[in-house]
Amino acid sequence: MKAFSFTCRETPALSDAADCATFDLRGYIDAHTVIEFEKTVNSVIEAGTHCIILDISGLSYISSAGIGAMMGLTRKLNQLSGELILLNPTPKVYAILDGLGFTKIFKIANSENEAMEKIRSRAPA
Amino acid sequence: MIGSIFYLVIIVVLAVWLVRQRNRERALVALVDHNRIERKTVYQFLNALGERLTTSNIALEPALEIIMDFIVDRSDAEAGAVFLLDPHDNQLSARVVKGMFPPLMPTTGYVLTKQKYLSERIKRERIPLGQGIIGEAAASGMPILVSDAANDPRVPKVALDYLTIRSIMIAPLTSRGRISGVIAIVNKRGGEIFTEENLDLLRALADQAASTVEMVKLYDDLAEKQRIEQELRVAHEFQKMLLPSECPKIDGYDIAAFSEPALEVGGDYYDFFFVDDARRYLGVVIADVSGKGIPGAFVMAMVRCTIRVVAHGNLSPREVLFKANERLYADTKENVFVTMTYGILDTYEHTFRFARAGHEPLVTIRRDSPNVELSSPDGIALAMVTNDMFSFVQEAVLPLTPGETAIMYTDGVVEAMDDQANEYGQRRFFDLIASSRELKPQEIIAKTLQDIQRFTRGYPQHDDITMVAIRVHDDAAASKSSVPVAAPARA
Repeated sequence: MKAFSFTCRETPALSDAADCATFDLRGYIDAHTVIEFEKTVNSVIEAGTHCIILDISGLSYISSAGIGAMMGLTRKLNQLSGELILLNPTPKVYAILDGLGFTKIFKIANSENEAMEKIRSRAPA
Repeated sequence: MIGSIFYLVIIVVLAVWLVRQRNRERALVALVDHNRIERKTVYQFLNALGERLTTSNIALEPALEIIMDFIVDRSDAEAGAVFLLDPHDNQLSARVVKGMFPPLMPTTGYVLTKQKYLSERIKRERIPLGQGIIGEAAASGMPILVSDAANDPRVPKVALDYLTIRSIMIAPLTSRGRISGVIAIVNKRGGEIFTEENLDLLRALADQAASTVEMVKLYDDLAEKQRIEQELRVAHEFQKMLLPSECPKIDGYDIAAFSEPALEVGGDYYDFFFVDDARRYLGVVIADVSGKGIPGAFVMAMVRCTIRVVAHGNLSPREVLFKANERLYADTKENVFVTMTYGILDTYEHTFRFARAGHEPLVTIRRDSPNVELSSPDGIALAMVTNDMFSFVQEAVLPLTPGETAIMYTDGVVEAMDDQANEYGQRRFFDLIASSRELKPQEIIAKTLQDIQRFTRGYPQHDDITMVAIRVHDDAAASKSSVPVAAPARA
């Protein structure tokens, strides 16, 4: 099983829409690995970036702790009139999210363009 | 004449030899004395550690305090510090600082007059392995003695008199061939400078200190491990307490359940209770709480209590989940959620009315079908969203005829893994169930557990495994009552 890791990059194509950052997630997100991830994303949010894209195409599995973290981020960003987009989930991860009913809560995009559209069309503050 | 010269030479040679021997003897005595003092000091050091470091206070910081107090005192030094190496980033940082210890890395001019502030400043400094005089000693594992600091380029020059280094010695902390840090001692009292003898003593004490540091670290790890194990044991016990001690015995039914917490103790549980006083309607719960350990167990207790309270007298599982969600959404942290199937078994009419809060599908073994039947009405996990979003949860009614079995399970069953991270999987599980139509619920569960065991080959599981199975007896009356299924109560 691949260990969990993530990297963060600015997403300049979106600069006309909002401050936006993309996190590339890889491996397996569980109760242990999620802590550092949450901390980092929260620090980015606190620094004023309120649109976050999580590229989860490299995520082989997501545990309840990982979903909990994403839910926490969604709630936080909603309060800040921001947005959390999940980009390119694998069929396996999508099935997990769908089974839990979360595909109705999370904004899911299948391409960066689609993610940008979702961010541009988000409810105004 | 030649004879007397010969004797004279002999006498001179003897005299020289005697003097040399005496010098050698004196040196030897001095060395023995030195070694004796050194050994004595090491013993005193170990005694000091033994007296002050008891099992009740054994921890790294207090141990380093004792070590540095002793070493600074015995070295007759003005200041000292112990730097430990962080193996993750190969950087050294001061953990305990004694006296006015000067900065050892080149710094921009700042004035620090209070020892407390200076110590904090030194402790914040991160020294990469190999850099500066501290990093050099840690990288090479060799002790360093600088007697003439003013002319040694490795020693940073500070304009402040009280921070000027006159002489410094550094000894590595080496235990079992591994360097865990260094001890640095600065400026001998009374204006003297450190000598090789001082360095020898420091090295001897540093060796002992290194073993002590290693031992305390092991103890710390062990204590942490024991603490976690203890916590898991408590959570385990707690979790067990929340499960029904036995499955309900109802005419015409066989009901069985099983829950096995994983290594890390997840938050699976199941529950049975009668919804009405006439004991016709049996509430059945299977759930998976997202938290782990003791916090997870408490959330689980909260969920169990909430469901029992809101379920009483209500014949609509959807409404029960709705009410539970309202409370749980308000009372739990944002990253906690609960998947659950809650159903009400009408023991007269043999129907199972249920709703699914993001939980795994309900599996039914039908009499007239070789395959299992899956039911997953729309639903979303509890405690995640407000009720307006939760409202799309749907309710389904499953008629059960004699000989049919309804099975609920948590994801720990289908996500059980072998050591190659292969999943047991829904397909194998459903196939196994489909081939078990003649078995009683207890036997189906046992058979599934055996099959999981065979698949995982005993590999420890990360998620709880929980199953509930309900079977209508083959000879159960088709219906006990002509009364139609009660209409769901209004919320």
